[in-house]
Formats: sequence, structure tokens, C-alpha cells
Amino acid sequence: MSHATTPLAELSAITKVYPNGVVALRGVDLRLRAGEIHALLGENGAGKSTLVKVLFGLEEPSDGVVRIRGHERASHRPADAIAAGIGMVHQHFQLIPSLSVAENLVLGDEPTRRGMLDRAAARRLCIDLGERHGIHLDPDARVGGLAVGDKQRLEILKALRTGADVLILDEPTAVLNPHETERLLETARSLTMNGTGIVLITHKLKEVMAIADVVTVLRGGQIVAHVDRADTTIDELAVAMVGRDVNRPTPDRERMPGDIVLEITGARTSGPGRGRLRGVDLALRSGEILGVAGVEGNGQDDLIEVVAGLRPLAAGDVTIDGETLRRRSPRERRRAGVAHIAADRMTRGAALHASVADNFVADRFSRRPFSRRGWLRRRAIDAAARDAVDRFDIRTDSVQTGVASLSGGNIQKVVVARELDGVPRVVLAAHPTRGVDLGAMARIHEELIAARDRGAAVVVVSSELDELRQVADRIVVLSEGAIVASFDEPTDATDEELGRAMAGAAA
Amino acid sequence: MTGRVARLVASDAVGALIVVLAAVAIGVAVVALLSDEPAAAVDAMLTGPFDGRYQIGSTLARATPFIFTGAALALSFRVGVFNLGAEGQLYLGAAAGTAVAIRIDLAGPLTIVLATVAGALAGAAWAAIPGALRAYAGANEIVMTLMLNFVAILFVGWLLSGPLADPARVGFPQSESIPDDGRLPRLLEPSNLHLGFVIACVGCLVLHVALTRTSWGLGLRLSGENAEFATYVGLRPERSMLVGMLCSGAAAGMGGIVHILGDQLRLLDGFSASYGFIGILIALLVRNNLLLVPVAAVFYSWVISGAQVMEETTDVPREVVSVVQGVLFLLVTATAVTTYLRRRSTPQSAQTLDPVGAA
Ligand SMILES: Nc1ncnc2c1ncn2[C@@H]1O[C@H](COP(=O)(O)OP(=O)(O)OP(=O)(O)O)[C@@H](O)[C@H]1O
Ligand SMILES: [Mg+2]
Repeated sequence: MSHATTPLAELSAITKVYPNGVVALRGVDLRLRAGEIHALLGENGAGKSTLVKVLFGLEEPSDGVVRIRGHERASHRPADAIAAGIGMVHQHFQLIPSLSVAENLVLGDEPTRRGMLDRAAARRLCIDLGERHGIHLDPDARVGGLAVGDKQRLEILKALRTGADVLILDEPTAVLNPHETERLLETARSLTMNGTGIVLITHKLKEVMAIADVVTVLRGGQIVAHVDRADTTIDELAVAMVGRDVNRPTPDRERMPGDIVLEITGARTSGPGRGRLRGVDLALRSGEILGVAGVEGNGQDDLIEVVAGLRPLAAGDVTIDGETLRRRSPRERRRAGVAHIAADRMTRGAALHASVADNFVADRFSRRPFSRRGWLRRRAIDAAARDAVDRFDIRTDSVQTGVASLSGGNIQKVVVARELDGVPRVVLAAHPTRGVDLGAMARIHEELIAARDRGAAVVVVSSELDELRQVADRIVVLSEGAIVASFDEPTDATDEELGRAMAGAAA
Repeated sequence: MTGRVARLVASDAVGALIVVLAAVAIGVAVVALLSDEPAAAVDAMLTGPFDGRYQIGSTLARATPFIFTGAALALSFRVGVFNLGAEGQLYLGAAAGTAVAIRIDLAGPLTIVLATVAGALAGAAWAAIPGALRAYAGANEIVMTLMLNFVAILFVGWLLSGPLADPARVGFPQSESIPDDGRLPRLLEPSNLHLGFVIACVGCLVLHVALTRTSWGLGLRLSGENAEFATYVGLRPERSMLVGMLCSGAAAGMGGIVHILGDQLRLLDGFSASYGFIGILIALLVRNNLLLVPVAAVFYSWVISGAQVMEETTDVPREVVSVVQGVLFLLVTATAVTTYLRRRSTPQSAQTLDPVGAA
């Protein structure tokens, strides 16, 4: 075997059975060559993350062989994988919230001076590396306070720093906006010039067509397609993923807005950075979806949280049906009909060690029909959860399964299913389709529109401009905590117009 | 019992069993090395505690306070607070209950009920201080509960040399003995097994049902699992923390007074054999599964009783028991505490951790 043809990494006949009996992979082969971008596609729960975790050494395969540069790997430990030149951006953040950006960046391999962490060097590294890859982050910001998009960019920077020649990217673009995505893909491309091989997991087929060399599609833990990108089309890939034709329903765009439900006036929040609100006025009618665009960290989180009651207002007011929410707790706001799809499903949106059923009823289990006289009614809870599982096609072996053992996209569906159940008055949807597959995305869009049609006022924050154009009746752009542009016809909001507004220029 | 509960109990039980077997195996090995008559010593240690009515009764009696404190700790861990103050709560519960039992003259069973309630209330009240500060001021409950132990123990010592002192005492700080009709009935004469053992087991069952079958319990569990999530879905995790701490303190306080009414029959200075601290071990050993707490407590009591029998009948000193204890502590803390701390300090990486029960 000549050196040039030895794959960087080769997984042969990998089977993975999780301790709870779920067979996540059955005899999967994957070969990554130097300088290649290998896209890994599949529905939520298909086994993508499991496969790359096996490659990275986070999960031990039940059967099969992992070879790195032709050498069979005996141990399955991430530390050995890193030493062997494998870097990974995980689907879910692996950051320490209480540390700064620079500290998180160097964690595990810290520059030291006299045995102590060299903070100045860490900061410099953060800035230099960011400069090189177009990822600008405040090195001193505390990670706990970062917007999800910034956390994602930090994760990417961390992986780039290791200089790995096998780079695994598990849904790195799920919360990036088109511009950031483009930058990341450029970075990926340039890395392959030096011989780096990249495994890219994504649900965005456009990205695949733009950058991948080869494509592997998983379904139900097995490979169902392995093609050169040049020989395939988006539609073909979509069919391979789902196993049938996907017809994206074009949602009913009939608008029937009613009375004003949610009104935000002069909203200001305090806090560091660009993320605080500086006087936002918004009025949202029943039966209306407002899309909020903007570079991550420009006040989207605060906007949602002041309505949900998770962040205090420094000035201004928020009202629902004319009643002020100022002194209302999150609990009372939920009672008043506020539903909230949290941006971060792992820290806020779900209780990972509780079951799917308990997560589904977490906001209403003490009411009928889920409790009577203080006693939980398991049967009613499980039945409702099973309905949600069917409605959103959540892949889980039962509603008793702990959420932690679902795939990322399926956890997202649990959160969405809970929040869109019933008849909410206001829906706050932060990145509602983060990490879900095409089918689930269509489903969630339908459900958002259905909630609107039941009379809810819906706010959708998304980094996907296509998504906003598709579901929103109206789009505003947030920049530095203020609304800098507003489009009454979503179709008027072209990428260019939005991009200009997002960059801060008044539109 | 549904299949799910059975599975859960089974998986917790298997984890505990492995740890237990390892610790006992090491204990046996040490005994075998030390003894001139290893077979007899090992036999005394392992079977002695269950050899006959008297030994069985003593072993179960000895387990009783551990059930209470194990339950107290398991409960607090389930709601996401660290109550390391069970020892102090136990002392105060014992003192308050004793005061009621010897000062208030009531008809038999009523004395017992009142004294037990007083013990639970005192334990809860003592736990309320760190509970409230943790919940509403974000203070560190671990340090607070630990420190308050010293205060409670010294306070009880003072009570016993002053207000609660036995007028006829001979020097050792102790209270009057509990009047006959204030004592818990004995179950397996001549051993000192008393009704408290049954109360403790039933208590664990009740707590388990409350936690798993009621909406109150689900609220507590979800709050304990992830406070940020709880606030977000409209629960009140601060309140849950306080409530959890109160219940935990009540269980410990009740353990204290039940031990006095059933076993010691008078309050003594320093009467606790580290019941509050061993409770931590027991809760961790069974991964906070309340149904298994009595089993773990009996196991622990078996180990100590075995050491005692061995000392009485063979040439091996009872200190061997501390080897087993040490091994248990190491094994249990190495697995349980690291998992818990990792979950607590880096919630964002929760996905890569074993879900509880899958280890
Ligand atoms: N820790 C675990 N324990 C048990 N089952 C698991 C665990 N992690 C994943 N699974 C199961 O394995 C299957 C594959 O999951 P995986 O995370 O690999 O999916 P995925 O393709 O990455 O999906 P997504 O697009 O949603 O991220 C799913 O059915 C999931 O429920
Ligand atoms: Mg995944």
C-alpha cells in the first residue's frame, strides 16, 4: 500500500449497541482520505454522531475496526485520538461556562509561564487564531454569557487550534448565519489544501453541494448511499436520507392578523456587550409570525428573555393583551400563555436525565389531566407524550427513555413538541429547527404556522434567513440591541438587504 | 411495580452490589491475612450478624438510624442540594424529642407521636437556615451544613449539662431516661430491635412514592436535575431546594429521636456513631434510590456487627471494619461524586456523560 492511498482514517464494519440496547450503527464503513471533505448525512437519529464519536474514541464500537493512517487503533480514548491528530467539534458544546473565551480555548493544552496559566498568551492566541480564520470573539468574555452562535464559533476555533489533520465537524453550522457559514466553509476548504481530511455532518444540503467531495448517507444506522458529490443532486440526497420523496409543503401564507397581543415598548436591558437591548419597540398581533434576523449576540437572547421573564428589564415594558408583565415571574407568564422554545436545548430546554414523557409535561404536569389531587396520572402523561412523539416523529424507543440518550435533533423535537402543544398566546421560538433534519424542519414550520393560525403571536429568531422568509409574515433585523430594519413583506428581505442591515448599516 | 421501576431498582442495585462485594472481598482478605484461624474469623464476620434471633434483631436495630440519615441524604441529593448537616439535625431532633418526652406528661402513644413530630420539626428548622440561604441567597450549602453540625452538637452538649441534664446524673452528661410509655415497642426480644426500624422502612417507601408518583415529587425532581430548566418551564427551583432541605432535615431529626425512644432510652452526649455522615455513603451507594436505602443500611450494619462478633469470638480486632469502611468510601465516592460534580460544574458537556444508571 503506497502512502498516498492510505486513508487518514478508516472505519470498517462498525456496529454500535448502546448499553440500553439501542443499535445505533450496523456494519458501517467510512473512509476519509487526505485533503477530502467527507459529508455525513442522515435523518435525526440515523447514527451520524455515534459514528464520529467512535472515530474520536468517545464511544467504543461493539464491533468493527478503526484504523488511523493504516494502523489499527487499540484504545478508545479521546486523549489518544487527539494525540493521533484527530480534532472534533461536538454537536453539543463542551465548554466551561464559568471560564473566559480565551481560557476555554486553551483548556487541555494551556500556555504556561512559571507553571501558571499565561493569560496574556492565551488572549493573544485567541485573537491571532480568530484573525486567521475570521472568527472574532472577545477573549475575556465569560462563556456562560455568550450567545449560542458565539459558543459554536469558539468550539470551531478550539478544534482549529489543535492543528489536527483529521477534523470532525458535527453540525458546526446549525446556529451560524449564512455569512459565518461561508467563512467556515472557506476555512475548511483551505485546510484541505494542506492535506487535512474533514468529516462534516450537516442537515443543510446546500453546504454539502458547495463543499463536499464525497457524501455518505446513513439511515437507521446503515449506509444507504455513498457517492461523489459531483454525481449527485440535492433531491437525490434528500430521497436517500428519508427513503422516500420529500415534498416540502409550501405553508399557507394567508395572513389574518387580529388584535395586538404582545407589545414591547422602549425595552432596555443591562449587561455587557452588544447583546443588551437599547430601546426596542415591537407590537405583534394575534395570528402573526415575526421573524428576527441578526448576527448572533445582538440582542436576540435578551429580546426573548425579557418576554419569557428570564431577564429583567432595565427600562421599558412588555405587555400581553394590554397587561404589563413587569412583575410577573416566568411561571406566571407561562400561565398567561407564553411558550418558549429555548435556544440551548442542552442547558435550558430539556432536563437531560428525566424521561421524554416528564420533559414533555414539565410545564403542566400539576394540572389536569396529568395530575389529580396531587397524584400524577402516568397513563395520561404517557399517552400525551406518545402523541407528541408520533406528531413530531421523535426517534426514541419509548417515552420512558431518558432524554440524554436521544440524538441531538430528537432532543430538539422534544423541546418544540412541548412548547407548541396546546393553544399558546405568545410563542417565542429561538432557533426552533436547530439541528433537525429536513422532514422535521418542515414539520416544525407547519406547527409554528398552525400555532399562529390558532391565534398565537409568534416570534422566530433564526440564523437561517431562508427559514425566516419561509415562515415569517414580517421580518425585523436586530443589530447592537436595536431594530435597524423592518420588512413588511418577507420576500423583500433579500440576503443582501438583510446582510446590509445586519452589518449595522441602516436600511 | 411497573417494569420500569423494577428495571431502575435493578440497575441501581447491581451498581451497589458490585461496590459492596468488592469492599467485603477486601475485608475478608484482610481478615484472612491477620487471623491465625482465618476460617473462623471470616465466618464470624460474615454470618455472625445473622446468627439467631438476638443477632438478627441487633443488626436490624443498628441499621435503623442509618436508614433515616440515608433517606435524608438521598432526598436532598435528588432535589439538587447537598445536606451534609444531617448529623447536627439528628442531634437537635433527638434533643427536641427528648425534651417533649420527659417534660410533657401525656398518655403513652401520644407522647411518642408528639416527641417524634418535635424531633422532625427541630431537624427541619435547623436545615431551614442553610436551605433558605442556599435557595434565595445562593450561598454554598455544603460548607454551611457542615459548620452547623458543630454548633448543633455543642448546643446539645450544653443542654445536657444544663436544662436537660439528669438531676441524678453521675458525671456523664445525659438526660433523664424516657418514661416507659414514651418508649417505642421492642420487636424481637431480647434484642433491642424496635418499632423504629419499621417506621424507617415505611418512611422510605412513602418518600419514594411521594417523589415518583405525585406532582409535588416530579416538581422537586425536575428542579433538582436542572434548576435553569425548572425556572424556564415555570417551576420554582428555589422553593424546591428549600422544601427538599426541610424534608431532609426532618428525616434526620426524626432519625435522632427515634433512636432515643427506641434504642438509647435517654439522650446522651455524643450519642451518634456518625449517623449523619454514614448517611452520605448510604445514599451514594444506592444512587439516591429510596427503595434501596434500607437495604444498604442493613448491609452497613451487617459489616459493623460482623466486626463486633468477630472481635468477641476470634483474635481479630474490630478495627478491620474500618478497612471495609474505607474501601466502601473510596469506591462509592470515586464513582458517584465525580459524576455528580462533573454534572454540576459543566452542564454543557452533560451529553458526553453516562446518563445515571448506564455506567
Ligand atoms: N448515549 C446513548 N445511549 C443510548 N442511545 C443513544 C445514545 N446516544 C445516541 N443514542 C441513540 O442512537 C441513535 C443514533 O444517535 P446519533 O446521536 O448518532 O444520531 P445522529 O445521526 O447524530 O442524529 P442528529 O441528527 O439528531 O444529531 C439514536 O437512536 C439515539 O437515540
Ligand atoms: Mg448528532
